Amino acid sequence: MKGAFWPRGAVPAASLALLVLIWALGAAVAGDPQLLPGPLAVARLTMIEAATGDLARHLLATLARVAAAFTLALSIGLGLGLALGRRPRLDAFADPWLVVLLNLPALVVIVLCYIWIGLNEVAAILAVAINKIPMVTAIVREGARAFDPALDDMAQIYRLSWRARLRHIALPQLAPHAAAAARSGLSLVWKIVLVVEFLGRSNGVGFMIHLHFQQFDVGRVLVYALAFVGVMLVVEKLLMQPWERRARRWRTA
Amino acid sequence: MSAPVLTLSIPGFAFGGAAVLGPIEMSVAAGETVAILGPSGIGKSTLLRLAAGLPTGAGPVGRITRPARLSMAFQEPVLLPWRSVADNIAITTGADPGPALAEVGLADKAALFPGQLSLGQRRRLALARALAGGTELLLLDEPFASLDEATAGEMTALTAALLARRRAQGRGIAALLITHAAEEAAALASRALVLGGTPATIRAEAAVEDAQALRRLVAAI
Repeated sequence: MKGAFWPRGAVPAASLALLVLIWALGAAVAGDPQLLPGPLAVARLTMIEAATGDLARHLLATLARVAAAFTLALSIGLGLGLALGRRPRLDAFADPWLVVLLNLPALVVIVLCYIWIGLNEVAAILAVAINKIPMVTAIVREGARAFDPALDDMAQIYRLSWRARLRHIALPQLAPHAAAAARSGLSLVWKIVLVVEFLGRSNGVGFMIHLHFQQFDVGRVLVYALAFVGVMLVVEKLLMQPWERRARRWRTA
Repeated sequence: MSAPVLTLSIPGFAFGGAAVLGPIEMSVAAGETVAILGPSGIGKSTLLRLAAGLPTGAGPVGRITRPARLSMAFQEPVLLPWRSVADNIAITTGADPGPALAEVGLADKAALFPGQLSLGQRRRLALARALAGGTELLLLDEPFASLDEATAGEMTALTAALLARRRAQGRGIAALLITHAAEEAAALASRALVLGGTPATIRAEAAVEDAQALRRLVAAI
């Protein structure tokens, strides 16, 4: 078997080490720590920001927004996608709306939410969710269109309640599509959250990037960006992957 | 004979402008198993869907009375592959899966997923589910069609035994079997209706004696 001689996790570790090495070489070639600080300089800055408590405070603020917007987008997108996938007439009516929303630039939605609702938390989270809902809806709709009609017959014969149909028939069939929507959604949502914070919040990773951008402090911009990438990798590893494994358990049993 | 559990009286049924079924009148009594025979594509499954109240792509037709508690063994097992064998019975029928699984010889498979069972075992699970919830009407839509001859024979014998056991206990189930196999009909049914013609109507009705007599009857239509 290919790769059998490599210990588990060795290849990703080597790949990341190579990336850091390229970064270090790039920083050495640039020769300007203001323009591109090396990995060690960024690590030192990270310790300083962590020691003051700022890093944790802003990471948590962003993480809370990501969680709220992600949950909202996934719940509404699942409901809408399921409804559109199951009701062709509703789908025919709503499809043009979905196309418009899918192509509306994220920045426009953010700006409009801030203008119409105000520079507050509700506008920030709503702006992110609105940006993500159409994509979740479109992915889940494809899943709902592909439902097995024989299971519908079975549910009707055995008079399953709508709750039982949702839990035991619809959601398990949607699981692969929901997982795809969640995976792509999480990475998109946190990037949009940064823009929302950049434009109109007074805390969070996006706000700190804005602050340090004005001071041309590339080192601290990298500190906050990389720290949040790290947080999202942990979320992916501890939440998303175990959930996907659980949803796929019956396939691999 | 006891009162009919299923009665069906339709003036005809058309789909996409084509007449599939002509006028049909039939009934099935408690404890009775009726087989509907006929060649493939004649409209047997359409008739069963009408009897079951499943969507047919057309509006309501004729007068059909059916009991509140009915069950069906489909052409494929139609199980929930993401739920355990026991849950497949508990979720759909609300019944205790233990006795139902024991009856079909799957008591030791309760914790497995359906994908871990052989095709024959999945069929037995589908049969256990169909008989678990105190059903009054069992609909069988060519349930053993995709099985090899030996497994189909085993399933037919098991189904006949389970229906006979319920009759002996005084809680006989009305059953309607769709099939094109005279052997299946002979093993399970007490009465046979033969569909023929375009649109299809009941061309012959006979008490089931043996498979050879049934084959002769079908061939004569």
